[in-house]
Amino acid sequence: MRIAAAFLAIIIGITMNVISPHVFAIGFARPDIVILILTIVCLNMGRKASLIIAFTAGIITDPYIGSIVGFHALVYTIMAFGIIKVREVMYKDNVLFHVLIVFSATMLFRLIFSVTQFRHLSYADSLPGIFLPPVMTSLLYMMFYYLYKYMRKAFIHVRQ
Amino acid sequence: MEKKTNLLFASLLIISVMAMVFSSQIRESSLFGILRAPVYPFVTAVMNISKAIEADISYKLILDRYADMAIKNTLSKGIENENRILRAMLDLTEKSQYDLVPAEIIGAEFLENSRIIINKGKSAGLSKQMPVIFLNGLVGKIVEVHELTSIVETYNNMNFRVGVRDKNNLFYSIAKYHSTEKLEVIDLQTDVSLNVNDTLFTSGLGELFPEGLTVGVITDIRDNNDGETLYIIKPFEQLHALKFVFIILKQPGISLRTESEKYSDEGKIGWFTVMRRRI
Repeated sequence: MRIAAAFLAIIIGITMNVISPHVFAIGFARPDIVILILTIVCLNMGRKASLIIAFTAGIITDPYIGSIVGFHALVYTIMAFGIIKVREVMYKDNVLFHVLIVFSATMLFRLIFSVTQFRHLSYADSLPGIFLPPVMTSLLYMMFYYLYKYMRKAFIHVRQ
Repeated sequence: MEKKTNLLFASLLIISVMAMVFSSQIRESSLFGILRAPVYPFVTAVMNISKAIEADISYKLILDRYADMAIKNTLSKGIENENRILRAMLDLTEKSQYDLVPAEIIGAEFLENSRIIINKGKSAGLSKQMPVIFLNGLVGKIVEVHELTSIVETYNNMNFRVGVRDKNNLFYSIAKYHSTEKLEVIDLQTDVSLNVNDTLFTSGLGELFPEGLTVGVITDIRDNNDGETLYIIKPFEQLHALKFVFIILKQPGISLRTESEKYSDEGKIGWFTVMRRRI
């Protein structure tokens, strides 16, 4: 059930990343919803499931973004593995820790993407283009985190 | 457990690298379609929804634009029409044998006592009974003059009368109000008959209106019960469309024209004023 929900979230995330204009875009800077969901998945689900979901998310993103099939699969798999390792070594149930992971993961992805897609360098791949998406993704994560906490509290209150 | 995870990670890495190596082959194969399949319905649905919204917005924008253009078009047509009228007025002023004074209509009443108010009066040399015309022909005559304005009794007024003739000078009669923007002529002559679409001109008899001004065209011919023929005339000038008029100040060859010029006041007997014809 959790895996199915994660896949659905990933598909919705890819759709939101692909469509233009982006729902949460400010100017050219747009948050990476797939990385956001992958981070949540990697922080909350099992290792193998996280790796498979990350790989699958990458492989189904490739036909829509970029020109090389397998690129997103590779990067998302590495990213998921990295998050799993960080989680195992120094996990803290703190929103700032989560935000830091989201920021790092998005930044890593933007850097790899910018370097590998150097031939097609545009303003979105320039320095603000690399820094702004991680910031926006982190802010979006915080927003979702507090929204989730608030709704959970309200739901529990209603049930009681 | 960790070994298994590492093994899975290594396998996925190898698959990813292999996919990158054979990227172009995958793109051409059916596998690419399979990879696209999970997201495709979502992307297509969102694209279609956004296209529909864009189309709706575009349609509204086009409608707004069309409305703007229609308004501009109407305005430019109005300006063009006014420009054409002003040019024709200038042309008429230069070529006319009469001494014309142009005036603008500043008020109008189009009921049975149809009258228009013009922005010229005594200060422009106007006086009562002066004929009022425009580009296509007769409009009426001045019935009241003030310092800066005058009131014109139009042909649409129940009291209006004008002597008319046909183009061959064989038919003479008096045209009067028939119905809204229509005049009538009752034919008393049996030897001359007019047809529909014949144009009638002012006869000049009565020395109020100069001879030869176009009045209107016969649109209907009826026999009334007295054995007379009734001609219905549609005047050339459409009163509702008028913005300007001309007042004929002087007519060549006509010295006495207005009532005050034709007659002199000789005094009063009781309630009656005795007038003497000046000729």
